Amino acid sequence: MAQTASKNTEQDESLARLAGKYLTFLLGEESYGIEILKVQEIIGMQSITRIPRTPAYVKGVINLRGKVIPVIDLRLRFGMEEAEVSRKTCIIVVQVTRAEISVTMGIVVDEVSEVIEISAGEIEPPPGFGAQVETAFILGMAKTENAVKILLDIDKIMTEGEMEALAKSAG
Amino acid sequence: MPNQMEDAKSRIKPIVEDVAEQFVMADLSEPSVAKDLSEAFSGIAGELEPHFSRCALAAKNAGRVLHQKGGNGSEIDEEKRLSVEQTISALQSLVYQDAAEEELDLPREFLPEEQQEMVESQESRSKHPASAVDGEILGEYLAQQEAVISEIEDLVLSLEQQADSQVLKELKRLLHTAKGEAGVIGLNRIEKVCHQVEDYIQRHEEHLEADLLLEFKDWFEQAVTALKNSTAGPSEQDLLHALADEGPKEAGREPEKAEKPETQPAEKPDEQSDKQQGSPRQGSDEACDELLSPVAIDDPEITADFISEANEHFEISDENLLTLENDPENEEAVASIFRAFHTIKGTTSFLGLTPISVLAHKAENLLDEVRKKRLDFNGEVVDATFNALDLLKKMNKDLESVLAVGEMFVPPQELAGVFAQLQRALSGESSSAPVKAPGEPEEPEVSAGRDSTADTAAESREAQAGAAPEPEPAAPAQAANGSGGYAGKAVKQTMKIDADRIDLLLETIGELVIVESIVGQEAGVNQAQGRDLERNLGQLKKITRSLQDIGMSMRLIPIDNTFRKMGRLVRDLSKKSGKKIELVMEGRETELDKGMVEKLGDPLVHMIRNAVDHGIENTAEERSAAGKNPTGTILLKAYHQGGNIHIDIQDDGRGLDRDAIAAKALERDIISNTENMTDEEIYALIFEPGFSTAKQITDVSGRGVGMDVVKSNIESMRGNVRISSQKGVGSTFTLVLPLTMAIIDGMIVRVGPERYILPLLSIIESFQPTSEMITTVSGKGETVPFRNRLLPLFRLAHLFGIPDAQMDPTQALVVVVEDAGRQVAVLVGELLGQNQTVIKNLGQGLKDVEGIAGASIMPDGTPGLIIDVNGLVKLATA
Repeated sequence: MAQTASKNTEQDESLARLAGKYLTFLLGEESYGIEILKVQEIIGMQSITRIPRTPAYVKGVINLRGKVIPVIDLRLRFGMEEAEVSRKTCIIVVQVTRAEISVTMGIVVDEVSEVIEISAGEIEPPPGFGAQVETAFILGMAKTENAVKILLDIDKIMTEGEMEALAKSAG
Repeated sequence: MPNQMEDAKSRIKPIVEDVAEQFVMADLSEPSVAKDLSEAFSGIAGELEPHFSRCALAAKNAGRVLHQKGGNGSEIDEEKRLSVEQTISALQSLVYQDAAEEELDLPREFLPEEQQEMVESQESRSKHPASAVDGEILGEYLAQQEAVISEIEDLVLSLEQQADSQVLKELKRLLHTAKGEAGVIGLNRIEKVCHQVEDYIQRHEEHLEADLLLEFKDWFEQAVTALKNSTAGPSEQDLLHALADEGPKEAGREPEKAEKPETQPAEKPDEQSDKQQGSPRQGSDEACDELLSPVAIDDPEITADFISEANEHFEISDENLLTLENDPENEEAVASIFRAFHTIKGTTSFLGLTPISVLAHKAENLLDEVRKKRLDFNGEVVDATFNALDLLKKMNKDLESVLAVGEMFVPPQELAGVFAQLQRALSGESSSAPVKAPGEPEEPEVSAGRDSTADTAAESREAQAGAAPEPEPAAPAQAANGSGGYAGKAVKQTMKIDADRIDLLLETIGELVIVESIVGQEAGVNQAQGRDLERNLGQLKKITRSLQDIGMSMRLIPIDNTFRKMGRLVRDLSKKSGKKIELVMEGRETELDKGMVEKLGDPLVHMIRNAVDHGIENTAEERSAAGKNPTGTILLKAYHQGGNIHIDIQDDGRGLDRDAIAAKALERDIISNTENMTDEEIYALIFEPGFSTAKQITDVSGRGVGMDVVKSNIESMRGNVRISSQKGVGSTFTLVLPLTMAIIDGMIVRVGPERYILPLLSIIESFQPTSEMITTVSGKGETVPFRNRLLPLFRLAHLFGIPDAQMDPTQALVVVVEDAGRQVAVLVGELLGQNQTVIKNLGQGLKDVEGIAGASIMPDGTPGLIIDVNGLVKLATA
């Protein structure tokens, strides 16, 4: 942690703001975290109605107590292999805020792990991979005792423009 | 002289008596009461002027106080009230006890001006108005004058170039207004000078000295600037002198008259000239300019309530006006409009929206005359009422928009014109029936005032001339009726509920319906559970259904509101186009979703306009020649059919010309050939965007103004438009709409593993094709015959990329769907049955998925997607 202190203070500050509680989950071997305040609930896997002419990572829509909400597959969104649905597969229902509109949507993950407290000191900025890895929706990397967690900026998982463009270009 | 004094006393006696009574009995916060009193005081002042200057001054000031307070509807403060009371008792002593003027105990407050008037030219003017008016009003006045001054300059310069009666009239109007306003605020010097200039113009209309007028303008400007800076203004002596020198009549004026009752002689000539020009508008104009200043909205919440309330009144009034036009004797209709105006007036004056309340008040006065049978509802009266209503509507709209952004409400400029018209309509009465009951108990003052405009008795003229600059002839009539009993109809008891709450309730009911059906299905599986459960579930189902019905009905309102507007539209269009058209409305009580009723307005307007413009023949002769009634008929009819709402717009005009439409569509490349097209499909071409972009809509083919708008509007409500027409007989446009936008009647279709919902509205037929029926075109496109035509066949599995679908058409089903007259065949796996469900959107992120209109929860609890037929056709033909 002494090394991180050498980073310039501005970045430290923005990273410090990221400290807090995160819900962590697994996609394959990778561990991710979502700010707990964005999470509405966790529901088990259920039948999803596919929407034609949308990109593959849009799994479709589900009925959440009378509300129809879209569900996306994070694996597919990140360009990973689609996984078999197991008993541990979950849908995390999140509140995404986009252009001041709050949207409820579900994200399919392999397995939900736990809620952990991440302190400012544990957070590092996302590493630069160049063009090969998309890092726009990564807030930062948290180094906890046993693993590195990727902190997701869930609001950026699907931007408005992206969503519209995807919906149109699909098919 | 003593004789004259006695005369004056006896003349004011009844007025004083009346004032005393009113002052004690009436509610001074009611603007009309205050106005009456102020007028009465002015009358008294006018009578007393030559003989009892102190009393006259006190009376004048009392009148002024009341006028100001009455004008803005505020309470009169205690101090002022006492002063007025004191004035009244002093007047009473004068009249009854023959007390000498010097002995009278007149309120100090009302007298200082006496001295000021005497030392006028030396006095610093800035102090003076401040004592009578608060700085705010003065500031507003001064700000307004700047514009007035520059306008005066413009007008004078233009007059110099060329004499123009319009310009002159405008100049007079401006001067008159300036004079009146100055008088109200107590700027006596300005008032006086303005008055002199007015006089001067009156006398020398033919050869005006522009220099002199410009000199006046400069003086006015200086005076205003001085007032602003609270410094002594310029002397007006030279100017007055110059003005007086110009006219021989000026010399003959009595000096004391010139000094004080300035308004008197001025209004006389003005009035006459206005009469000659046929526009008795001076009073309205003056009031108007005051009213045209922006108004701040004090209470946005109540104002918002008022706006929606007013809209209801407008609609009702519109309808009643139409009734009245056909049946001028209909008292109920008059009373109803009167009530509407009255209510609007009441609310707006409470809210401080003076321009609206004054307009409503004037319109109300006019209708009151009609109501009391003193005026016939025809000609000018009708137009004036319609215009007043229109302007009220406009102001209401303006109000709504300024309320949204939190700005000041700026009254529209048309106000002046409408005021003048109302005034004309009202005075039409006094000229046509000059001997109206002169001494009606509830309005002695006013009948006097009004009669004086009609006859020329100098005496009563004087009494009126001193009156407040806003003659409100029928004001007390209104006051008397304010509390009067209206023959109100028994109204169904209603409650206003926040629309959001209803939506929330409906949503919750929707969820209940879904859960109920899920539970029902599960229970069906475990039938061993016993009969009780089954029975209870049956009960639950029944209650849930009725709850759903009730919920839906809460959003339903009669289509009446929208239809009413059409009545007005046809009237206006028919007047404009010179065609005689009768609008017949049926099924106005038909209910549909509130959101739809509102959305229907635009399409209906377009279609009716079309029917009038292009449907009905141009001339009555043309119609007669075709053996039809010279008066065209448009039928607007709403009715239920097969779970949908149908709205027919039917005209008995020329009908659509298939060939002309086809030719035009070909010319515009909307279609490539007309073979194999039904009449309906051809007619539907008029809905294509770009069909009628022609500047001049040609005779028969041009039915298409804004028709694409109609189509898209109706489609957004998940409805469609059908056209049937017979050349020479007429056309019928039928809007087919779902009962509500919240619920959809759908057919569940299965394609492979997936299920979709097709709106029942768009399904024409379904059948299982044989292999001979399917014809392939160039190896790709498929067609299937349907009712002697070949329809393109699209496979839903292809369009939606559905895996594992039945690829053999003979094992599948063809569903023929229609979209705006265009039919296509869609191949699906099988039909699973109908259902009726609440429509949900796909969520913000998935707004525009082509071919999908939304989602709905299936009986098993999973979402099902609703197919957007229009989008599907587009997708297929793209």
